[in-house]
Amino acid sequence: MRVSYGAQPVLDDVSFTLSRGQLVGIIGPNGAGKTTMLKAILGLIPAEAGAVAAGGQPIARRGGHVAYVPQRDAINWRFPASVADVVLMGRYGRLGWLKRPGAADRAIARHCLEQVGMDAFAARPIAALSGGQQQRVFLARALAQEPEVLLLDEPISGVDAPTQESILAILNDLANQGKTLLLTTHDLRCNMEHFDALLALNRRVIALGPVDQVLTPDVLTRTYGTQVVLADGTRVALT
Amino acid sequence: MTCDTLWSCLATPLSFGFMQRGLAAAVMIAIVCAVIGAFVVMQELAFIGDALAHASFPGVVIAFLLKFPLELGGAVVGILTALGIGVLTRRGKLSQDTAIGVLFAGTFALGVALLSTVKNYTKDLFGLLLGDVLAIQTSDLLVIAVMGAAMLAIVFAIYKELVLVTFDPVQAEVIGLPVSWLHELLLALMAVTIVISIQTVGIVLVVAMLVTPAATATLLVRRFPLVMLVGAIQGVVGTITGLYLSFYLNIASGATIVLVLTSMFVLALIFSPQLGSRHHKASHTAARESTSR
Repeated sequence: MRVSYGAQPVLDDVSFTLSRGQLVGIIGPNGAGKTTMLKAILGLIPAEAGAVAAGGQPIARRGGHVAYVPQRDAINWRFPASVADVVLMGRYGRLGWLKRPGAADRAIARHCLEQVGMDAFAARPIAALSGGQQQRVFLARALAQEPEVLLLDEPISGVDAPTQESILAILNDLANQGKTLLLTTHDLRCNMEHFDALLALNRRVIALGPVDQVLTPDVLTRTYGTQVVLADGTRVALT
Repeated sequence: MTCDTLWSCLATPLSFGFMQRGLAAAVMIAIVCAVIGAFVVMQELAFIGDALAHASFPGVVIAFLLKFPLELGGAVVGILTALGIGVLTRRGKLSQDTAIGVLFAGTFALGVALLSTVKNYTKDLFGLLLGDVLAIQTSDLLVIAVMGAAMLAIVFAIYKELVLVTFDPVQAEVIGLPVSWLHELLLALMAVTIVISIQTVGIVLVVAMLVTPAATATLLVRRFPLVMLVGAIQGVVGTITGLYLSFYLNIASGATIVLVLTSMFVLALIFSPQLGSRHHKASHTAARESTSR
C-alpha cells in the first residue's frame, strides 16, 4: 500500500498480514504515518496503490465490520449527548437510512457499555467524563458496530497509568474473543505484555513481530532514528 | 394603543388581520428556526447563516419586482448560494470564510442594485432588510407552512445521520455516510429557513431567529432533542411577546422580536451558572489532556 499527501509519500510499500484475534500495537515517531495508515485502512484517505482485505474479502465500509476509535480531537465536544446516546451511534451503520435504533439496538449498546465497565455512566453527558472514561465509551461505541476488526488511534495516550492498564486489559479480552485490534501509540512506557505483536512503522514497515523481537535496540534505532525512546526500564533504554 | 384588562390586551391585536397573519407566521418560523438552528449552533455555522440571508437578497428582490411570493425567490437564490459555497470551498483554492465573504457581499449588492430601479425604493428596502410583519399575506402563510413542514420532515427523516455528522464526522465517514453531501443539504435547509423568516424579522436580523433560541437552549438543557424543543418554545414565546410589544409600543416588529429573544438569552446566561461552570470545567480538562499528549 502507498499513500501520499501531494507529491510526498507518507506511507510507501506498507504490506503486512495479521492473524485473527491479535492485539497489535503500531509504534513509531510523530509523522511516521501511524494515523494515516489507520485512515487508509478505513478508506478515509485514498491509497494510491494497494488494497486492504479482511477475511479474504475487500474491506466493505458500509455495515461496519471495521470499527474505528478516533483521537479525541475529532469529536465535537460541544454537542450535548449522553454516554448512552454515543454508544447507540455505533448502531447507525448497521441500520441504514430512515431506520431508527430499536429495543434490540439499545440492548446491544447497553451490553457494550457493560463490557467496558461504563454502564453506571449511561445517563451522564459525554463531555463531563474524564479522558479515560470517554475513551472507554468510544470503545463501547465501536463494539456496538459488532466489528471483526477494531482500529484505535492513540487510545492510551493522555490518560494515567491505571487507566491505560484497564483499557489494555479490555482490549486484551476482546482479542481473546477473536476480534483483531490494531492500535497506534507513541507511548512505549505502557505495559507491553498486553500486546500480541508490535508493528514498528516509519513511512514503511520496519518490523512486525512479537514484542520482544520488535523492542530491540536495532529495530528502535531504525524506527526512531536519533530520538530518545523511553522504555519501561527492564527492557531497552537507548539514546 | 392601550387596553384595560389582560383579556382585552391579548384579544385586541387579534382583531386585526395583519396581526393574526403575523402571529401565525411567527409561530411557524420560530419552530422551524429552532430545529435547524440547533444544528447551526452545534456546527458553528452562524456566520454562514448570516451570509446566506444576505446572499438570498437578489432572489427576494426579483420576486418582489415580479410580485411573486418573496420566500420562493429567496429560497431559489439561497439554495444556489449554499451549493456555491460548497463548490468553491471544495475546489480548495479559497478558505470557506473567504468564499462566503466574497459571495455574500456581491450578491447582496446585486439585490440593492435591482431594487434601486424602483422609484422610492428605500421604504421597500427597509421592509426587506428589517422585516415587515404587517406585509405578510395569506399566500405567504401558505408558502411558510408548506416549506416549513417540508424541512421538518427532512430533518425527521435523516435525524440520526445529521446528528452523527455534527457530533463525529469521521465516524460518519467510516460508516459510509456522504458527509459533504449532508453538509450541503444542511446549508440548503438553512437557506430555506432563512428566507421564510425574512418577512418577519428581515435579512439583517434573521440570523438571530436561527441562532439565539438554540443558543439559549444549550445553556438550559443537555440533550440534543431537548435543545430543539426548548429552543422552539423559547422562539414561539419570544416572537409572540415581541409582536405584542411592537403592537402596543409602536416599535419595529422585527427588531422587537430579536430584542425579546436576546433578553431571554441573557436571562438564561445569568440563571444557568451551574451548567455554565460545569461546561467550563469539562473544556478545561479537555485542554489539559490534549496539551499533556
